[in-house]
Amino acid sequence: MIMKMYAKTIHLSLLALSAALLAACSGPQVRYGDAKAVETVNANYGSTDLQIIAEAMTRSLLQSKAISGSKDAPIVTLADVKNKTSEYIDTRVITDKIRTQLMKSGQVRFAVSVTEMQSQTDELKRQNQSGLYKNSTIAKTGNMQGAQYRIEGSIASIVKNTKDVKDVYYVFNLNLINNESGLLEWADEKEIRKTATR
Amino acid sequence: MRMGDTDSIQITDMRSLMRNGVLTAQVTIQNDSKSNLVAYRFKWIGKNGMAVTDEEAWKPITIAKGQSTVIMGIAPTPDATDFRFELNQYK
Repeated sequence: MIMKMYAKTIHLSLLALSAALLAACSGPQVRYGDAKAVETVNANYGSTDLQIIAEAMTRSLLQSKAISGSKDAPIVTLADVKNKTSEYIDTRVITDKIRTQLMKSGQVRFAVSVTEMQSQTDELKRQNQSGLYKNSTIAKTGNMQGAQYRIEGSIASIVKNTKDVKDVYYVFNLNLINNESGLLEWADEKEIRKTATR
Repeated sequence: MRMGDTDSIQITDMRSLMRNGVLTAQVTIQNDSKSNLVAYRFKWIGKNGMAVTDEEAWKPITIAKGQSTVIMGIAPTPDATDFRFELNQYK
């Protein structure tokens, strides 16, 4: 009787072990990839497009007369990049990436953009109106610097489909506008074509 | 620097100059074999052979058989004094 129970227990534990092994084998395999690698999962807007656009725009802008010809690093602010495509594209990510790369170059300074203005004024109010801070350390109001230039642009696409082919063409356009004169100091575009075939 | 199956691609010319204070590179590549999907990037080098920024993104390019194409690269900072050209297949 005891022998029989032993055999049953061994049998059950073997079953549990094999089930655990099976589960371990069929589970998802996770590995880190290269964030800079070319991504071709489908023809939709993707990480490679974001990286290519930001890089092309930054490099071109750095070489422009408005930036390279300036004695001090000019102050720039980010305005809107309009998404005129049929896809959802977070254009803020593109402009943020451009801003980061421009900042790293040391050739440009950035003033807070419209979207960051609320937190900037909140902080100034907190320091000036709460009465909690030592006077000599308070960031004074009325000392913010206005931007000489603003960066704005658009992304548009043309998409064509057949049963077996999807062709996507993106054109990203960016302008550097002088805030005082309203003149466009620099403009560039980046074109991308992607074709997905079955 | 080559990676992957890029033997059919010949680098026929490489040159650079300072334009508006930034190093600008130009590389001409030619494909002698079948149509090829390759990716390229530049590595920008400053003083003492140090890289001036993080790695660039790989940029895909389709180059047909017999086609020659000119690739331009602009350094991300004025600190770059030299460059390397990297070629890789992506499919």
